[in-house]
This record gives sequence, structure tokens and C-alpha cells, in this order.
Amino acid sequence: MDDFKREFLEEARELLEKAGADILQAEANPDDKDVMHSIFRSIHTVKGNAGTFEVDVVASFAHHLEGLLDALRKNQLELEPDIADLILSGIDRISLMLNAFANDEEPVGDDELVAQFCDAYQQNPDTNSSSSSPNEDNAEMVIPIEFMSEADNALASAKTFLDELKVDLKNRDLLDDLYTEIHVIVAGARMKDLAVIVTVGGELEKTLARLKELDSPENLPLAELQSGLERLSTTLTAVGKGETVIIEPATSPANQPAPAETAINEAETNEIKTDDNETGMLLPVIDEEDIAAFLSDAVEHIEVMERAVINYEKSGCRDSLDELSRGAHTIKGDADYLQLEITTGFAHVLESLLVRLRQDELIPDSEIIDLLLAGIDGLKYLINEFSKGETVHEFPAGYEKLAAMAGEDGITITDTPANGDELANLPEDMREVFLDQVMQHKDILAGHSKPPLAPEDREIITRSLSGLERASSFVDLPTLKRLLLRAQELLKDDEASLLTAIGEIVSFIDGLTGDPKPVGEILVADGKISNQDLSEALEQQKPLGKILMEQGKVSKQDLSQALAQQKPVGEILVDQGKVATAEVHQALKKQGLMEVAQTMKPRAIERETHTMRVDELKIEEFSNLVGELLVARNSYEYLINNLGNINGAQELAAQAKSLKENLHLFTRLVGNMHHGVMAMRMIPIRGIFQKYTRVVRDVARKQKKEIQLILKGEDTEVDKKVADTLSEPLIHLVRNACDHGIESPTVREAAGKAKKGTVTLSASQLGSNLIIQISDDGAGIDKEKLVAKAMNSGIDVDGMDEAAVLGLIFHAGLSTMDQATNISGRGVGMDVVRSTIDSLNGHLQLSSNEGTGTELSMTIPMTMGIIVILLIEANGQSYGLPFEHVLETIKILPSELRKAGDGLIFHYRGQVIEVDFLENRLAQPDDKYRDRDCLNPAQEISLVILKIGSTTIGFIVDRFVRNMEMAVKPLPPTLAHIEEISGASIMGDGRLILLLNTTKL
Amino acid sequence: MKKVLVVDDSRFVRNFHTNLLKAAGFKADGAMDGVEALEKALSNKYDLILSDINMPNMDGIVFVEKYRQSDNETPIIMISTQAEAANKEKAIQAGANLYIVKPVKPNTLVLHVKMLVG
Repeated sequence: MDDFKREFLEEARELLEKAGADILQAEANPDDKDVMHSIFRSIHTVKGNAGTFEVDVVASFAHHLEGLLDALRKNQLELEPDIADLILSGIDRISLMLNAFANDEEPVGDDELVAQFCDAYQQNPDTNSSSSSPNEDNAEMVIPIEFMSEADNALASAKTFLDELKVDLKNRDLLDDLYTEIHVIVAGARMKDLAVIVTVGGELEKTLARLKELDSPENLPLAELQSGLERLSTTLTAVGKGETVIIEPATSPANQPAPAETAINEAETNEIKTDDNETGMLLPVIDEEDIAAFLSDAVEHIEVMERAVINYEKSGCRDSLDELSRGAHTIKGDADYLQLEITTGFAHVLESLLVRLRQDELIPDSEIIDLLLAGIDGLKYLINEFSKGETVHEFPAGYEKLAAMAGEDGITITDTPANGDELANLPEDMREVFLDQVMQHKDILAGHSKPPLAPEDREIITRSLSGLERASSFVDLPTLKRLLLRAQELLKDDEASLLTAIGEIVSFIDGLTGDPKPVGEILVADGKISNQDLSEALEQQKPLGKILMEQGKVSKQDLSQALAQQKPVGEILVDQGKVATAEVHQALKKQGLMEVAQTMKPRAIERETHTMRVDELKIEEFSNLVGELLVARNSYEYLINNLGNINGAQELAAQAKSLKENLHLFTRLVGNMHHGVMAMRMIPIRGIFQKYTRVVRDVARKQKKEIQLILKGEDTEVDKKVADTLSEPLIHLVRNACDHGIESPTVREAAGKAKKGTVTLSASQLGSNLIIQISDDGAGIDKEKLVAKAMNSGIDVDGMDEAAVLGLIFHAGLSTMDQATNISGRGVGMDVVRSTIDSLNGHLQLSSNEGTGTELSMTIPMTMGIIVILLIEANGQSYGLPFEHVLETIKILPSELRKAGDGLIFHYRGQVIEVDFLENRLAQPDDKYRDRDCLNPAQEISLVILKIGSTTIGFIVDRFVRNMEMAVKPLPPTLAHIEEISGASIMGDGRLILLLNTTKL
Repeated sequence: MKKVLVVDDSRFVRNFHTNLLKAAGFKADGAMDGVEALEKALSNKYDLILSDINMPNMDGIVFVEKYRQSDNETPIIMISTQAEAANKEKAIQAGANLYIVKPVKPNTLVLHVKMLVG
């Protein structure tokens, strides 16, 4: 999958998750409007990004959802539970659509839901009480503001699409886009019962639908579309003003002004083309790597900026603002080097806005924050277009607003053509650069040559003169050079003659640049007009062809003929025999920076990669450790070299001591590194826990219960892999607690409990174990029913203690006590919960009191990858036993073991436990079993007592070796089916140890 | 071969400039902030220093000021997107010979460097 796409999807999922969680929070605190703003922004971002990726179904769906959220954040609507349901379904639908998009399937929207959104936010503008068919009587027509602004937007986009379509007749996508926009308007109008708009728009919609079906889109009735669009536009305006609209029959498409427009559009595009060809500037070798670096940097910056905006909004802190500025600044600079003028300009206004914020000229209200986000969206869009190899000619949406807020007139592109006679022989680019430098030096010299000269001034002048001198020798300008040398000689002398020499230089430079500037620039320089005035005036300048045509000097045909003859510069040059076609192609290639971007596109990543974000600090600490480790390694080298020169035992002992000390250092470092790596894998469990608020709410709403979920210890860090593994089983457990645990409000009241049930989910760390507890204050587990079910399934429950009985619910087939509801029915069963925990080497503990609730606690060892083992030998082979399962190691005489049937038992602390030879559990069934009779009755035997879940068992082994840390490697695939062994490791002396999977013994 | 030090916190710009200058026949080193730049500039002999202004840790202005305490010869170009006159003056006072405002075309930049190296 394409990197950008993945980023988009990842982010969208995060945002949707956040929005979901926020809704629940908003429901809990109806007065907290910030949450509503935050939800709005999340959906807004998803919408914007979906638009960028041309997942229009998602964008348009999100757009409607956004409308609803907008009404909510503006207090036009209350967040009723039904509305919350609606929003949550909306979020779910977007997730589904994105999943489809991720799998390259066609995402499907939900028109019914969209209609519900619209109903929800358009029916209750200020007056809830009035009936909801606004234009039935025209005495007082209610103008649906939300719809109008939406329709205006859609219309504006439609116009753009049509304009583009005129130029790019074959682009079917544009036709689709156009259709979508019109469809949005018509659908919205239908919803609002705006019959006029439905009629006028409907015609256009039908025409477009018909055109979409056609195979040859070349013969598009552009004029008809144009006039249809105009009619729709007038109708919309009229409705917006509350005027009554009479529908006129559609005029025939003939004699419409549209074709002329088409010609002009062609003219404009042609001009753009020629323009492009003329910029035959030398491009440096920008290789793929540069572009890739630019793109990845930009994406990173944008990500940082997005987070920074959120932080900034929350805390208003300077750091976030600085971060934002740095991002905008860097993107601007980088884009500039790729000559992406639009991106540069856009980043520039964003930066200017940030500067104003930094200088406290603006107050960061929600409007500004939205604007910043829009700015980041714009950048994202531009970067994305660039990555696709698309050229953007216009500023993205929001530019004007940004520029206005930033108090900027947009970027000014400096361009000072010059011609001094002295410089006539220079190539143009060199002359420009030279003049640029010279003018600067002139300013510096003029600015720092006011008597009396301070020592700093003299230094500045010295530097400026030396700069000038180098430049003038470079372009070979002896007159200036002479003047400069004289001035330099005078530097140490008296002030007056130095100043005269400088004056001469300044006036010489003035003479060099006596060229006329364009009128506009002079006016700006004189302060008569602002840059904005100038660019506005320039915008009004029409293409030559259009002016001539308006003056009646040429006809439309003349113009199109002329345009048809117009050739790109390159072609003309070839025709004139000045250059070869190949040379033109080469030049064009250089020009086409974008091609480079395109060629790098195929580097798609097929395999889905799992990524995780790691705190930079953690990596830094880790790098430091590696550095120290290298030092320790070097000391070994040194110490080992010393070993060769040893005389006598005393020196040897000293060396041994140093070696030992270094070993301690090494051990510490390796230990720290181990922790460092583990720390990198750790993420706060919050992300997982927050998902469950939604689960609880769903069940509560569906079953009409009142349930609150209390989260504790959300900051507890867990291994990412463990977190991922736990996520699913926990959903099941939370659902179970809500579904089976918490009773309905009436039952609870009757039992004297609070109406609202409580489910508590907590995480904590105990030693090296992660403890996750889920408890509810519900009905508890009905043990009698459980026993009855077990008996029915043929399980003998005689002699089972309470824990063992409760443990039954973890067995497949008994897991769902009540299958009546569909809530616990889906997802994993309790047996899967157990096997998941087993796979993590953890264990479960369940306690339940009928009437007061259930508590399930999961203990999961957190040292994944490295575990402490008890090293033992059995039948001559070394094995590792997970230390956390070892209760005790004892030595007993064989006589203390009793025979019971085929097996052995032992009285262990008042408990009768089963005992066996470890190797018996590992041997093939037909191998000869060892039993008590083969033991020497006089010799003590080694017995290791293990506690696995609720079972305690003893194993006879040859001997205990010691406990040690072991880095577990999974078994090779050919051996992976051996259940009794969960991994292997190599000892220091090269021996292999197998780690036994105690739960399978 | 003339040697140039390119100082910029953007990895992209740094690579770009160094490659650009290498292609133009210079030797080029990079430094990612004022701290690194100062260390490199003081321990090597460069024919020109091209420095960004806005950088973390130590910005370009401070770097040039500090560097100028030990060498007033090596030409320095400061380059920044901030077109305000105040910044330009700051750069010149700190010890830059030339102040270039971004946006600047790559070949323009190379010409600036060539001209100032002489």
C-alpha cells in the first residue's frame, strides 16, 4: 500500500476512534463544548483527507455528518441519546467505508443515514416548535441556512469542475465529480422540500447522469451544462434571499455564450503551456532521494503540526506554536527549492499567521484554530498532489482567509530585470544574481557609512567590500574592482576619504541599475498601492485574445485559429533549425521535475507493515546505552591484550579482577539495554481501554440498562503486542459484564442497588506482572446453573472447590450461559479468553458472589522475550521451567511419595498433589515409564512444585541447576507443533535448553 | 577545490544544497545547527559558509556572531525566508557578507556562492 494512503488510513482510524470516545464524553458532560469542537475537527480532518485521496463517497458522507456536528457545536441542537446514536452510526459507517477503501474495494455510503443527519440538523434550527415544512406557505419562508451554504459550496465546486471539463473534455472523472456536486444540491433540496431547486437541479442532474453513461464524452453539450449551472445558481441565490422563484422552461443550448468561454479557456491553457516552456531555467540534479526526503520530511512535519495545533488549543503553550512555526517554515523552504511556488506561498501565509500569533497580535480562538487546521489540510493536500506527480496551479481552499488573517498579500516573487551597458555581455541569470548582490552591498554600504564610523561599521564595510570585490572579479568588471581596491586600501585610513570612496561605489552601482521597473512595482515601492492592489489589478488583466475579442477586433474564429497556430517555443526553435528535437526533449525533461516524482511512485509497499510510534526520548536513551556498550567492549580488548604480558600470580589476579569488573559493567549495560528495548515496545493501555466506553454504551442502550464504565490505571504501559492480543478478549469480557452481569434498572432497584450499574476496568503493574481487572456490581455468576450445565455436558463436578467451579465457564461449550442475547454471542468465547491469556503465559482468577458481582483478574508477565527460568536436569537433558510457575523446590525421600493407582501423590502443605517424573510427561507414550520403584530409597530426590492456574503439581527431576534469565527464541517451524515446548535458548557454554510449556505438561 | 559549509536544520535542504554545490564543482559539508556548524567551521578551513537563520539549538545569527570572533575573512551567506529588513540587518551585523531571501532558484544560489567565493 502506498505510504500516504497508509498514513491517511491510520490517522483516520485514530481520529474516528477519538471522535467516538469524545461523543461519549460529550454525552456525559453536555456543557463541554470543547469536546464538540474536537469531534467536529476530527470528522472534518477525515473528510478533508478523504477528499484528498478522492474517496468522494467518504468525503461527502463525512460532510453531512460534519453538518450535524456543526449544528451541535453551535448549540443549535441538543446532544440527545438518539443524536449520539446517529453520530456513532455515522462514525461506524465511515470506518466501514475506509476499510473497504483500504482493501481496494468500492466504499458504500448510507443514504438513509445521510437523510437522518440532514433531518436532525435542519429540522430544528432555532424554532423547534414550528412544523417542519418550511415552504408550504410563502407568508414566512424559512431559509435553510445550512443547506444554502452547503449548496453554495457544491455549486462553486461544480463550476470549477465544468471549467476544467471544458479544457479536458476526455476526463470522465470530472463529469462524475460534477454529477456528485449537483446530486448533493438536489438531494439536499429534496430533503428541505425546496421544489424549485429540485426541479432546476434535477434537470441538470438527469442530463449529467445521461452523459455519464455515454461512451464518447467528447461531444459534451458544454453550453447546455453551463446554462443549467447558471440557472441553478440564480435559483439558489433567489431562494437564499427568500424570493419566490418561477421556473422558466430551459432555453435551447444554441447561441449561448458558453462556447466563447471555452475558447478563452483553451487560450489560457495554451498560454500557460508556452509559459512553462519558456522558463528554460537550469535545474540542478534533483534526484529521487531528494524528493523522497522532501516528501517524508513534509509528512512528518505535517503530522507534528497537527498534534501541535491540538496541543496549542488545549494548552496555548508557546512550544506548540514554535513547533508549528518550524514546520511551516521548513516546508516553505523545502518547497521553495523544488520550486513549488504554490506550496511555498501557502506555507508562507500560514507561517505569517503563526508569527502574528507568536507576537500576540491575534487571539487563538476556535476560528483561528480551525484556520490553522485548514492551513495544515491545505499543505497536506499540496504535498499529496506533489507526491502523485500532479501540478497544482491554484492555492487550496482557505488561502484567502489565511492570507487575510495573516495580514499578508501573498508571496511576492522578486524579479528585477536589469540592463547596465557594462553588464550587457553577461548571461541573464548571472547578471541578475550579480545585480542582486551588488544592490545588497550598496544598501549595506549606504546604511553603514554614516559618520562617525563605529568599529562594527568598519567590519561590516570590510565584509561588504570584500564581497563586492569577489563578485566584480567574477563577472569581470574592472571599473568597479578598481574603485573597490581603493576603498579597501583606505579602510584603515581616515574616515572622510573612505566615505568618499564608498560614495563613489554607491553611485557607480546606481548607474549600473538604471533600468525602468514595471509600473506596478514602482507604485508599490512608492507606497502608492499595496501588493494586494497590484495582484488584484494583475488578476483583472485578461489574455490578449480575450481583450481583442471584446473590442470586436477579432472574431472568435480568428482567435481560435490563431491559438491553433500558437506553438510552444521549443517547436518554433526546431522549425527554425536552431535546435534539434532531441535537445528540446532533453530540456523539457529537465523542466519536468514532476517526472522524477512520478518515476519514484512504483516503489509501493506490498506487504502490510506493522508500525508503532516510539517516544524519541526512549530511542535517545537507547542510543546512549549502545555507546556505553561500545566503550565497555573496547575495555575488554584492552584487558585481553594485557593478559599476554602478565608476570606472576599477583598480576594475574589483578587482571582477573579488572575483567570481572568489566563483566559487571557489561551485565548492567545489557540489562539496561534489555529494559530499553522493552520500554520502546511499551504503550499506555489507554488506547485500548477507551474503546470499551463505546462497547458499554452500546450494550446499555440496546438492553435499556444504565451502566457506567470506570477506567483505572490507563497510563499503565503494556507491551504493544500484549496490548494488541488483549484487545479482543477484553471486549468480550466487558460485554459479558454488561450483558450478563449488570441487571436491568428495575431489578437493581428491587435488590436495593443503585439504578446505574458499574463496570470497572483497571490496569496496574505488580512487580513484573501486568494485572488487568474487570469487575462489575451485577448479579454474579449463578453457580448452581453452572454446575447443572457442567453435569449435562458430562463433567463430574464432585470435589470441585468454588474456584474450580467458576473456572468451568472458561471451558469451550460452557462459555455462554445464556445464549439469548446477541451481544455476548458475537466475538470470542470465554475459552478463547483463557487460551489468549495462556498464550501470554498469564493466568486468570475469577471470583463471583451471587448478588454482588463478579471480578476477573488477569495476571500477565510483562517481560516478553526474556523470562526468568528455573534450570533443571531431567534424564540427562537440561530444561527450563518458567519461574513464575514454580512454587517451591524441595528435597524429599522417595518414601514420602505415595502410590495412588498408576500415579504418585504427595502431601504438600496439607494438600494432596499429583507427582510425576518430568521425563514421563515428555516421553512418547510407548517409552518405558519411570516410577517410584526405580528410585534409591535412601537417596533424596529433587521435587519441583509448580502452580499452573489452579492446579498444583510436583515433578521429580534429576537436579536443580539454578535460575537464570533466558532470551527465548521460538522453535523452528518443523518443531513448532510440539506443544510441550514453548521455546529454546542457547547457554553460555553452547548447550541448548528447551523451555517447557508448563500448561501443557 | 573550494570548500563550502552548508548549515541548515532541514535534512532536505542540507542534502540538496550540498549536492547542488558538489554538482557545481565544490566540496561541501553539512551541519544541522549552529552548534555543529561552529564546531566544523572552527576546525576546518572553508571558503564559504552558507547558513540558514532559523534553527534549533543555536540559530544562524548566534553562530555567525560567534564564528566572526575568530575569523572575519571567510565569506558568509545567510539565507532565510524572512524577508523583513530587520532580519537582514541582523544577519549583516552578525557578520554575514550577503543575505539571500528565499525563494531563490537553485542556479541563482550557486551563482551567488560562486560570486562570493570569487
